[in-house]
Amino acid sequence: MNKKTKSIALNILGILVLYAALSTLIGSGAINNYLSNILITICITIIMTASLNVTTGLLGQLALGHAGFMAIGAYVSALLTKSLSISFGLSLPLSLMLGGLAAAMCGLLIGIPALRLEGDYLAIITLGFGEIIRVIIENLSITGGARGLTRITRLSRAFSQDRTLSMVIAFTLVFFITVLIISSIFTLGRSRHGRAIISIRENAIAAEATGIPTTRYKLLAFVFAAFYAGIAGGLFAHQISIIDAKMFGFNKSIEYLVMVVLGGMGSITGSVVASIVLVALPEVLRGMEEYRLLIYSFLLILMMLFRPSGLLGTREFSMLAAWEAMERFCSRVFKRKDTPTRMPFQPRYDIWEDKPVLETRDLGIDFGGLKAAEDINIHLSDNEIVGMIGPNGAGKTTVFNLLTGVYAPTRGEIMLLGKSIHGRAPHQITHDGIARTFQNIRLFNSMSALDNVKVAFHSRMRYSPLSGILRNASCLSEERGIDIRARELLRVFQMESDADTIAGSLPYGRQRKLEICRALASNPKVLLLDEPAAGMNPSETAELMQTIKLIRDRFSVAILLIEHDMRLVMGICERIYVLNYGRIIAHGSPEEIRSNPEVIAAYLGQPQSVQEAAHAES
Amino acid sequence: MKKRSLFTMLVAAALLLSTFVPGLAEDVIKIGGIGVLSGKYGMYGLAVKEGVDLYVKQVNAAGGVLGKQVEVYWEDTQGNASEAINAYFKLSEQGMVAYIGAVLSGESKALAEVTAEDGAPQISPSATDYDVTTGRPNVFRTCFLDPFQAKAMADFIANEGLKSVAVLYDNSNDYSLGLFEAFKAQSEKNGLSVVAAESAAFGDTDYKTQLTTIMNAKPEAVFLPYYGADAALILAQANELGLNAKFFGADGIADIVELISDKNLLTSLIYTDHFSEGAQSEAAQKFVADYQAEYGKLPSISFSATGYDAAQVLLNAIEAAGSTEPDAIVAAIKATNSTVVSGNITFDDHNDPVKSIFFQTFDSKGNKQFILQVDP
Repeated sequence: MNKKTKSIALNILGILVLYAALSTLIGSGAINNYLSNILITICITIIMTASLNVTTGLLGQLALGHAGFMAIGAYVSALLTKSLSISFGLSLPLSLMLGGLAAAMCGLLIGIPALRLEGDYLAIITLGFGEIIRVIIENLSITGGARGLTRITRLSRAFSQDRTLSMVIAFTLVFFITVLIISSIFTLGRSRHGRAIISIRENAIAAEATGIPTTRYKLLAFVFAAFYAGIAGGLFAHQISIIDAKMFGFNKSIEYLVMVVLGGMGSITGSVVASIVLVALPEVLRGMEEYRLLIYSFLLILMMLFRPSGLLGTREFSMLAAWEAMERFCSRVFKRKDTPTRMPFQPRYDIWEDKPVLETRDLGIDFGGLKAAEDINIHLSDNEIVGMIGPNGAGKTTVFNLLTGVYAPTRGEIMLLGKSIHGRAPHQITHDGIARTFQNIRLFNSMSALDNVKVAFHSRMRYSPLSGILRNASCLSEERGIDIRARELLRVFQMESDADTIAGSLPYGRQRKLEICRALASNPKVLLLDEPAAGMNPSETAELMQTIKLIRDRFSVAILLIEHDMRLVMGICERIYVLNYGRIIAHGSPEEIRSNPEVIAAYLGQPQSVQEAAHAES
Repeated sequence: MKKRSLFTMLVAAALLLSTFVPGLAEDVIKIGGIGVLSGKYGMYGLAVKEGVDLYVKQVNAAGGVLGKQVEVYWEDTQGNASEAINAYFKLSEQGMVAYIGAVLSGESKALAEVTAEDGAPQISPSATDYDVTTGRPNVFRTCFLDPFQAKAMADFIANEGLKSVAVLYDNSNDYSLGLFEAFKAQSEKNGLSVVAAESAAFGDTDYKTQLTTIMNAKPEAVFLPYYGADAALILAQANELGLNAKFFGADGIADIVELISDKNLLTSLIYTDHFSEGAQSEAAQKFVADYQAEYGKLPSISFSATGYDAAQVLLNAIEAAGSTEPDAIVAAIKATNSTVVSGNITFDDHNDPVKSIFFQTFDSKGNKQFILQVDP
């Protein structure tokens, strides 16, 4: 804690010293008009790059039209300050805000259809968007058409007759807007919303299965990035006082993207450093202007060869503690007194007596002409461990995907706690009480084990993105609560010591455990385990059996597991369903299954004991 | 980590150092030259630069201005408005007396934004957009404007005895649109009938639909307010379709020579220019000779002449003002009435020059042929 406080103080101090030094130098004339303008350009570039990094780095979606949002912000705010007849000190903040909101609005409009797509498609749509904005601006009369807007009030001249003083005020304004925006990206990134966004980058399918409404969070990140780009655009317009649509073309978007890539996708401080270097460098080498893009490309190639993940990769510089500082500051300002830690995780212990927790009725799905599953009737009661076995391709994972809403059933119904889950999205079903693990582990690899678990607590938390940015009382108390819960959960699985380890670097068996742990964090009533013992050695498998029993006892949850390891299935399952060709061919206790001739035939094509069949498989 | 911070520090140090570079001795008059010197439009800026440098060299050889030598500091904008502003901020820290530039209309407007705040004298040799000087008492130019040349062309066509005219223009391009509107108005005033006005979008490469419509309207003249690259395509396609008419263009079409493969097509094209190598006046002929001696080529881009003129107007004004005070220089420029290489020049209320216009065509080898100089 002591160390933390120290680094918080250092960060705040660093920012203030930097500001004091720069503003004094501007005030004294040592940094002249020309250099001050470069400083302001650097700040604007930092906002652009960092906000693009939210989409590209944190969310992991390639966007090629970021300059389009900048254009919207620039035009909206410039038109406002030109037309409003109130003092510039009032109209500027107002117009910046409205410019940002207009850009965010466009982000929303294009994001809703575009973010359902992924990867290349999003890139192409955003590319198109950037160009459309440019063409629209060029053809409207209010934006001055191809001639652009001129005579926009200039920041560096607007505040005072005295040029130096006016420049100092302009610089102060831009500097602190930049600091605020960067800190807000940091604090948002560390809130539950940030975790949700990063989890989408790490593994979108797992994120959805963990209860993250992925479409909504993609949209949130996208709209946020657009909002900040809009503000940067507003500042840009008032810095250079003349704008035309060509300034915000494809090349501009690419320039910012290059900075993000050079700085490291996902590293906000990397973006800051890259912006500073790439704005300052061409000014120093002004004679080499025409080679600027060449230098960029060359840097990019070098970077890809020697540091493919960018200057800082996804790591952050020492700003590490700035958000904590904000937290201290905000708690002092906004909080009346210490709010008690709110425990977000309220286990459901409602008794379902004899009625099944989960039940399917004549469930079936067709893929084209193929009946992948038909007449699936299974039921699970409270605290039950049920196995599902069958040869490869029997349709076991298909059933799981039906239960979790990844596939919509062609026929039949799924009842969870007596209610149909028909038409619910995967993340909603997770919320309703079905959690799952995957056949091939899907963790959020570059996040810590603790954060992996925290992502799954998402739907139990309430605080808004805004309180996440401000780190106000409700955010802090919930975050404290979730931290306790997440560590508790890890402790149950003896993984407490791995809390801060990056998930991807955990040993295989522990990754399996962590995935189960994460599934449990969403407080399920039904836990679906897809081949939990796959790839485990006998001693790991034995440990896993203990773990599964422990889960049932401690978490009051019904477990349905797919497994090929017959020792595990026969050892812990109370009942077993056998699937073949998409149908249930047998159902009963392990003993009954072991001696069922149909099962034996399905596995080996001839009558033989299942033990031998199992032996042959493993 | 170490290396990175060292690198940033080096950059910062270099930035700081550049501010402390000592200015040259005070017995030099410093002129800032700002404009596009590289990239797609670089040739226009370079033509301006050659013209300006030539005049400054001649003046310095003859003893300079106010007894001092003149030095021009050039900054490349890459045709980018924000770079033009940056360039101004950089130069203004170094004690420039006045500015020549910028070259393109967009960057010139941006430059005018900032020179106007300081009242610094600015002369653009080549910004033809009307707005550049609007409300800017300190900003002048030595080239004529788009409406002016469009009107002159409409008059020229009427004087040739042609009766019907068609226009093909680019409605997303400022330059093209401005020329079209002024041309149409003046044609109607002159009793020319505009039988077809077809527009194409920016970046189109196939103009056959529009040309077919134009052909069906059977015009005697076709006005093409385009830059050379597009005009080269249009002329070739018109020829393919068998469109028989005289073609007319404005100053931007001049670079068509290098871009068209069949130079024969050029013989049917007449365009307006700021200057002609074939101009008859004594000043013009001396300029062409001097330019050829200095650079070993003809001043084929007319902005070298307007650049030469801009330098002449500016330095004469400084000499006349007897000081390097911005206001005195501006007043002296405003009072200009002198003969420069592109004709006689005075400035109107809008700080636009009242000056000569040149009509040119090409021979079948693509050499420019002087037709006519029209004086105000």
